[in-house]
Order: sequence, then C-alpha cells, then structure tokens
Amino acid sequence: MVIAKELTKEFSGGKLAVSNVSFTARPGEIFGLLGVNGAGKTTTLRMLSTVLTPTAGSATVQGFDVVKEPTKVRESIGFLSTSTALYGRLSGKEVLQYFGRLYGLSNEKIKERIEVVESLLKLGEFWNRNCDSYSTGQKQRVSIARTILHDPPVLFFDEPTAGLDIVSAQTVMEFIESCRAAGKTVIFSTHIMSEVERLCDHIAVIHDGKLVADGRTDDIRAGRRLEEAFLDLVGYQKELTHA
Amino acid sequence: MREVFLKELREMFRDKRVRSTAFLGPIILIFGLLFLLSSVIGNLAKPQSVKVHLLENTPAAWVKRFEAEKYQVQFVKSEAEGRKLITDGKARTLVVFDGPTEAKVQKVRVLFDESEQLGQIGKERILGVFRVLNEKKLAGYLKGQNVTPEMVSEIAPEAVNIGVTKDKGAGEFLVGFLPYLIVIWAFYGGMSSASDLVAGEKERSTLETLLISPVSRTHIVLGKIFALGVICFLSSLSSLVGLGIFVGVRPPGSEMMLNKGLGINGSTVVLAIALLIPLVLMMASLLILISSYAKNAREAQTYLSLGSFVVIMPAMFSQFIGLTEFGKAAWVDYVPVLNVANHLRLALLSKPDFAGAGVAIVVNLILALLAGWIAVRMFHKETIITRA
Repeated sequence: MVIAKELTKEFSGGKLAVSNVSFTARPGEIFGLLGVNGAGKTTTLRMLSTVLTPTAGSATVQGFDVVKEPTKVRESIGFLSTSTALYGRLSGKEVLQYFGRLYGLSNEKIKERIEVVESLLKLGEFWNRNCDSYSTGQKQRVSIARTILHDPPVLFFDEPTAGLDIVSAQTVMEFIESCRAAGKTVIFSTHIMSEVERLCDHIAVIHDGKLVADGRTDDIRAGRRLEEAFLDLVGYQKELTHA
Repeated sequence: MREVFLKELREMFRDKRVRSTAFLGPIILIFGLLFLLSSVIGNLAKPQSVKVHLLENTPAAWVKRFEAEKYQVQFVKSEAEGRKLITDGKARTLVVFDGPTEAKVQKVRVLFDESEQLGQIGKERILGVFRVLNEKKLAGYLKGQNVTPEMVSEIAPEAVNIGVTKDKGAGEFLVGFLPYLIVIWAFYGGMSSASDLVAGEKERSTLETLLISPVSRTHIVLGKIFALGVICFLSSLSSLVGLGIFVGVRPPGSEMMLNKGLGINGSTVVLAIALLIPLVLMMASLLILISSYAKNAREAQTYLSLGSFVVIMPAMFSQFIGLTEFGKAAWVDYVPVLNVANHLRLALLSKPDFAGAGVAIVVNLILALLAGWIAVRMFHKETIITRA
C-alpha cells in the first residue's frame, strides 16, 4: 500500500512542483496518476521512490516512511519508465544479475528469479547479447524484468508506453494487468486516457502540482468519456475555432 | 559498493573508447613520441648529417678535412649565393676562407643565421673543429720548446662527479619526461570514462534506477571512484608499457636517451606505486565530482577539459623542476601532482626521499578523501543528481 499525505515539493528557486497531494493506492488495484506534461506526476513518483525528499508532508510505502526508512522503501518498490535506459555494454542477463545483487538477493535466489522472469517475458532468445543491440521492445522487456526481479509488492510505472510501438506497448499493458492479478500495488502515471480507461481502478488527477480529483474511475468519469472529464478537471477551454 | 565497482569496471573494460584512450593511447603515444625524438636526436648527433657549404675556391686541404670529419660538403659559386641560401633556410652555414692575416694565421668566417637552431648547432660544430686544430698546433709548438701544457697554465681544473654513477639512475631526458607522463595519464586515462560514469548515466536515466535500488548513494559513488581509480592507475602504467616497448625495440638514436639505463629497481617500483595510489584516488574523486555536477556527458567533457589544466600545470612544471632550486624545497611536497612527479624524478635519479614522499602520500590521500567526501555530498544533493 502507498499512502501520500499532503505531499509537497518545492524546488530551489521557489518553484512549487507538487503541493499538498494526498492519496492512497491499495494492493490489487491499479492507481492512475493523471496529468498533463509538467503537472507534477514524475516529481510525485520520485518522492515516493525516495529519489527526491518531500519539502513537506509525508508518504509511506508498505508502511515504511519515505524519508525515515528510504532503504526499506526501495526494497519494496519496482520502477519502470520508458526514459530509463539499460547498460549498453552489459547483456540483459548481466543487467538482471547486477540488480539482483544490488537488491541483496542470494545467487540461488537471483538464478531462480531470473528463470521466472525469463520464461514470463521470453528473454532467452536475445538476453546474452549486449543491450546496445536490442530493439525498443526487447529493451522494454528487459526493463520490466529488472523491475520485478526482486518481486516487489509495489510497482511504479512512469509513462511506461511512451514512444513504444503498439506491440511493445501491449506487452507493457498486459504486464501491468498481471501485476494487479498478483495483488501488487500499482501506481501508473500517464496522460494517455485510453490506457487509463483500460487499466485503472482508481484515479488521481494532478494539475499544476495540485490534486484536482481523486476517486474511482467510474466516479470521475461520471458517464462521460474520461478524456472529457479530464479536460474539465484541468480547466481546459477551447481556444481554437475555425473562422 | 563492491557490486557497483565490479559492474563499472566490467563496463569500462568493454568500452572501446576506454581501451583506446586509456590503455592503447598512452602506449602508442609514448612509443611514437620517443621514437620520433630518438630519431631527431640521433640525426643531430651524426656528424655526417651536418651540411656545410664552402666556396668553390676553398683550398682542397680544407675540403678534405671537412670530408674526413664526415660533413656533407656542398659548394657555392660565391659568398652572395651562400648568404642567400642561408637566409632562405636552404643552408646552415657557409665557411669562407679569407686568406692569412697579418700574423699569417688563416682567417675563416663561419656565416650562419642566429634565428635558425640548426645554423647555430652547425656553427658551434665547425668552430669546434677549428678549436681542436688550434689546440693541436699549440701543443705541438709547446712540445718543440720543451714546454708542457701545465707549465703555461694558471690552473688545472677537474670536474669530479660525486653524484649518481653512470650505471645508476635514468638519463636526464627520461628523468624529466617519465614522471610527467605517469602523472598526466593518471588523469587523462580516466577522463573519457568519468564523463560517462555519472553525467552519462544522468543523461540516459540509468542513474535513477540505481538511486531507486537499496544501495546507499555513498556506496554508489565510492564504487564508481574506486573503479575509475583502477582505470587511472592502469592508464598511468600503460605509459610505462609504451616506454618498455621503446626500450625493447631500441630504435636508432635511442642510445643517447637511454645511455644511463632506466633507473628503475624494486624500491623505485614500490615507491612509485605508493605515490600513485593516493594520486589516482584523488584524480578519480575529482573526475567523479566534476562528472556529478554536469548535466550530461557533453557538459562533463567541457568541465573536465577545463579541470585538466589544474593537472597539466604542475605536471609540466615537474619537467623543469630539475633546472630550479625547488627540487628539494619542502613546499613541493604539499603541491598535488607536482609532489608525485618530483618524487618519481628523485627515485629515477636513485635519490629517493622517503620522508618527503611520505608527506606527498599523506597530502594526496587527504585531498583524495576531501574530493571523495565532496563527491559523496554532491551525490546526496538532489538538485545536482537529478539535473539532466
């Protein structure tokens, strides 16, 4: 479970990236974090994953405080984003072994988990080659494997399908659905409404760093298309009209 | 930390840029440079390589004498032609025999261009030939008068070498050159990797996955510093491999550079390693610190190029320290880079100063710890580590 309470982040120079954001993401559900580019989604996820320290407020991941117990938090999470690259001069298998050791898994456990993710994501055909030679889809499959190698109870996905082709994106979506089925707590950050409608049980909308909506997907939608509901929430007004 | 260290080493050893710039680069560069210098020095040392221009009407006896001294004799029709060749840079010297003076001494003018080094060298050599002839004539005259040279001398000077004997210590050229190369490659060897280690990881967003892992940031940065330190150390030693190949090949002209051997023995090696370890740790910490500050690899390269001046300046000074009084000055031990180069120089001269070297080691170790501490602090600053 992930609980954020009045989470705030002010960067040097006074820029308020996230202001008093509170929400709860529960196990066995996919929690959608929606917002336009620069709304504060990534900053929120970075605070929850202990990369950034909140200026105010608090958050817990699996009961561990993100400021006081960052190591416990990191052990409990997996993080996937399309912007995250792999180590080009290591093979996919070596990347997984490296992260397995960083997460403190024993050699036997690493071997066991690698076998699991290998068969789940079908990595065997290419994972002995250096990551530099992978296609985008292959890279994403290895990244997914890295994310779940230590079998974390909480998973953060930061725009995980951005820039992916339709087949690779489908793999990611199916994987996220499987996480819900496995009882994981999933926070899914995106601005692609079709993905939200397909995946998310619960939605929080962030705009200009503030939480403008938090509720069940159907409640937020209130009978409309999600896209319309979202535009209403972020105060979008039609600006361009044909002459 | 061990995992980060091993992974970084593995990646760096697989990187063609690292293999070429940190290991192959110094070997080729040092060997090539020494090869070039040895051929230049060898050519300068050969008498037959020195050209001398004479007028066509030069007495045949003098022409034969120059040829006997293995000069390349070339003739010009007139003094004016010879002068033109010298000013055009096509001739080094023109020797003009003007006929006997009133005292019946053969008057000779050696024309040369002072702005041309080869002209100056040629002039000195030709004057040397005439000086020897004069000395021989004087000795013969004195002998005819039953006078020994000592009888017409005021003093009998003698230079006595109480320093390193000929079979110990490296040649002067290597003493100036070798420490410079060793310290300079301790920095340059790590430069290409450093920009990739942190700034490059920021750019590719791989650093974020590392920061999200349970490994502490302190261990991440220390793992990177130690891995880079190994590369810096090996790169520094690669310059010695280049030298070793040069010594093994011994191209023509190298005997003048290697006339006193290499001056390397067991204690020199131990002292060199003891001096180098804190130096490479300091360099690696500095490189990681700069790379941590940069937004991306390109920006890191810019900062690293600027930072290299901090290393180049004392390193270059170390080449000339033997020409100054500073070689034994206590303050030198407190100047990073210069202190290592100076103590390597002293060790190569077979005059190791263990106390001074100890100070240098401690100073560099303190600076390495300081730079490492700042790098660790920087890694904990989210405004720096997340800027990309």
